[in-house]
Amino acid sequence: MTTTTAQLAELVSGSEPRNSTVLDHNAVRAIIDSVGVVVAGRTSDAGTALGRWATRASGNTREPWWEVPRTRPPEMAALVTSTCGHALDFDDVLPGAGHPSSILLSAILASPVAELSGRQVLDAFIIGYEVNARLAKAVGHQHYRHGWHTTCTIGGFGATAAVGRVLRLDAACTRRAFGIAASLAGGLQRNFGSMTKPLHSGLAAHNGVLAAQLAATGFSADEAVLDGQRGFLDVYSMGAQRLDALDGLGQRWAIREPGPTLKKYACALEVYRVVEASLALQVNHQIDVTAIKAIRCLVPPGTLGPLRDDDPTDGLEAKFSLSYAVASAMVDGDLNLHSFTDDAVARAEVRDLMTRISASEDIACRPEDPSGRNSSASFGGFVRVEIETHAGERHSTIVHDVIGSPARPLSDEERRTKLIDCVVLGGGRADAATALFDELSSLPTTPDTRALLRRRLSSAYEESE
Amino acid sequence: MTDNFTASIADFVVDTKRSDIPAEALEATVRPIIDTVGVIFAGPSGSAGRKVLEYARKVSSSPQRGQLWTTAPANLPPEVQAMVGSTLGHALDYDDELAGVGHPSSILVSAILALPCSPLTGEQFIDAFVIGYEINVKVANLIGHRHYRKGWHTTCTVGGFGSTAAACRLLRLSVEQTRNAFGIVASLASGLQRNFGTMTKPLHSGLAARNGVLAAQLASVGFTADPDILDGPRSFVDIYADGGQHPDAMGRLGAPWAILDPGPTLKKYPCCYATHRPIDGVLRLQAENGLAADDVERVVVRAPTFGLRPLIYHEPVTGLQGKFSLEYVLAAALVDKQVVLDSFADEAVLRPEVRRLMAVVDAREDPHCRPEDPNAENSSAGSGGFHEIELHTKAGKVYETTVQFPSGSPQHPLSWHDIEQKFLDCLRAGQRNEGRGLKLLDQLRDLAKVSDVHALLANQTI
Repeated sequence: MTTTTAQLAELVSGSEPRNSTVLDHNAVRAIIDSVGVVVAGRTSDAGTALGRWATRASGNTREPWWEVPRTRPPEMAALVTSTCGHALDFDDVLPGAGHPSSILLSAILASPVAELSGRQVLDAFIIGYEVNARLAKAVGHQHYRHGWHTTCTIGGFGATAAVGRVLRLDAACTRRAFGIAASLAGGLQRNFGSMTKPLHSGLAAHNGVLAAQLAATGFSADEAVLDGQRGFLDVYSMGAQRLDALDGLGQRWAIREPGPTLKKYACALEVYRVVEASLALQVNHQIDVTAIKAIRCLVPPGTLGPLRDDDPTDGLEAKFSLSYAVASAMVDGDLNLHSFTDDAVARAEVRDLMTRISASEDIACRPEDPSGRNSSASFGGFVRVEIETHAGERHSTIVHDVIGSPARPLSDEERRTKLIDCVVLGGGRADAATALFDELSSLPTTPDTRALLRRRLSSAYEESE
Repeated sequence: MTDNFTASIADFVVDTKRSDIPAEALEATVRPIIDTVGVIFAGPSGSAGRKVLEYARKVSSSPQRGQLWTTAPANLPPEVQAMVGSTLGHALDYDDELAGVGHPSSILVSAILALPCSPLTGEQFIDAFVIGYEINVKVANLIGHRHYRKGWHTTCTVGGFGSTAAACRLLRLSVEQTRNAFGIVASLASGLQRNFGTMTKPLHSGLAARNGVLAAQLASVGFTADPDILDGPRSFVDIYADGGQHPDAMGRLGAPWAILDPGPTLKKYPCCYATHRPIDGVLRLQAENGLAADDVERVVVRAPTFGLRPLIYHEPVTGLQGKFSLEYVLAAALVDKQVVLDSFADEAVLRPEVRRLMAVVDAREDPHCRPEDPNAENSSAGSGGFHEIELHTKAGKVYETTVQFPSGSPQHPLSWHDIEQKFLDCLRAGQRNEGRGLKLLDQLRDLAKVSDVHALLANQTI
């Protein structure tokens, strides 16, 4: 019986590269999506603040794509890139694990190696994704419910695995890298609704790059840090014991099953199903906003926990406000990147409608796990939304699977549009984004991934300087 | 004073006037600061120090050696400088300590010196240090000891709050920015004791320094975080105190100043603090009774509850492991009649005559050695209660002694002569110029009068 630490290290250092079109297919989708949200995220408050910080006291040219001077340590590039990637709450999701893709892509691209083929990126991404998913399962959901942000705490191990794979660390070195990563793991949900939430994603990427580099230098750490008394899982799992977490390791792959959920809206996934149900009712019953007396939402237990602000004062808080998301969607007929600007949040018409929206958790909405103890907030069960008009009409509907999830994936057209929207928001050109989409779609044969990104994105970055 | 912990500490950091700080408190910073500079000099002689410098050169774009007084390259970002500096400071487990808090001084010195603040007057240095020290200690008191027992390394987890306070003070951030900085640093808090005995333990000190520098700098460019991170459900206290918090600690901000009471312990021996009382006892019994190592048949140590917990290596094979091995340090003390930096060379740990003696060390915890807190609910390993040490000789004699306060503790402070000797040992270990180093020590004794600490240290580059 080998330790969890050793099994995961073996996956990183010993497993053959996957040559599976199915795995590639899903990884490519997640990577393209991540590229978009990183570029869009540079316009966010968190992204611009970090850009100021990273370039301060340095007159050097910034590297297109991660916007960090070339002279800075690679982990700083990872920090800035993945903070941008999460800054709009628009990056993809793996239920129970958080938001691994932006972290992995940022960490891989920041790795201290001269060239990275598309094949290398995919290989490291799939391995990192797997380690992230397995450890998220091992630590259990109670970890998140207690108040840690799994994206950050567990994300660092995924990033460590991905960078370890790129640097070709051997098994012992990988175990030590995990040991270092364990001593870097932090991230509190109390910081949701502030710029520090996206920073968590950046930190996870940063921690992976730092841990893998230190281990590669010969830095020592506990070699079984995940296991045993006062190991990472002991301290952070809050008593959960998921002995089956590594079952089928190397045979079943998280990038394939369950696979990533790509986000359609730039806000908390927890509000998606409610937004979709509300929009469906509005369209199907031709309901005018002014005719609405009340919108009542019933959601599965656990859904409302991560949401925190029903009186949002800025765009960042609004991303976590259920009533804002629903009201804004009803007023505009849709949610888009512009729905979450500070100005949009202040609109009187939206604020007025918000006062008529209520949401509560109902155990009937999650029959398979009524308490929500083992479920992540946006998955499982269903939501029910009822709209009552001033005329006394009541309409209601139910939504089960969240849009963008593996059961209801975004179409190629939706994904292309999202990339273009993101790149344009980030200051780039739509034609470059279209070309980028096509080129990244053949990532398995790309000779130099960073050169590709530079070629298609540098015009945007240079113009904005 | 507000009921909000986060507001309390932020107000304290921003609003405390220089004139509010007693002169003795300012004066009391000088010894730990000098001690810290010394152990940073010695840091490259340890494996963690060597490796963290190797890493620093690797990630630096102009990686020449010795551009800074720490020997790190000069062009790294401040947070990386802080990380390298404090990893060096803790690399030999020789930096000072405060019971229940960990090792704040190296963290604070490294964070302050890494920040872009030029010139840095001695007064500013002392001011930021004393404020950071106070916050580190009081937040550690607030979090309580259960945190450490659960498996976190308080030096790292809580140390970041101290370095954040020092950095915010030095950068003159507003109360709002300071609260944001504490929110950021709470999300950086980490560090597991499972990494003790490896290079990652000293890295924890480096990370605490880095976290404060990073958090304060991000807050200074407008980065936001939860402004009440120590308060309420799922706050840092809620999650990391594990139910053992002591809210009354906040009422003691500046009353008394922690640098005065309890005050730092400067380490006489470069190893885990939990070994210091037994070492004192063994060396004392040996000297008083003129015993050779060969005369000793058995060494009995009775420690307070929890007193042996950090001493996890019973068969150490490296110098670093030896620092956390009671068997090794006592055997080495018997053979060498002292415990110094050279005692923890990898070769020293493997000496056959020492290995033989390690086998005769019999150590156990005994609740009667900690009468005031028999279960160590609120005690750290190296303080509180007392150790009983017995030397049994082959001739059938038994010598025994009790040690309550180790050398270097506030009750038995190191003399200036001791401090100089330690500084010199550190200069030699780090292969530094002894003459220049000792001149620096003299100048630092008048730290408050120094016009630019950076300029002073720049003379120490190699």
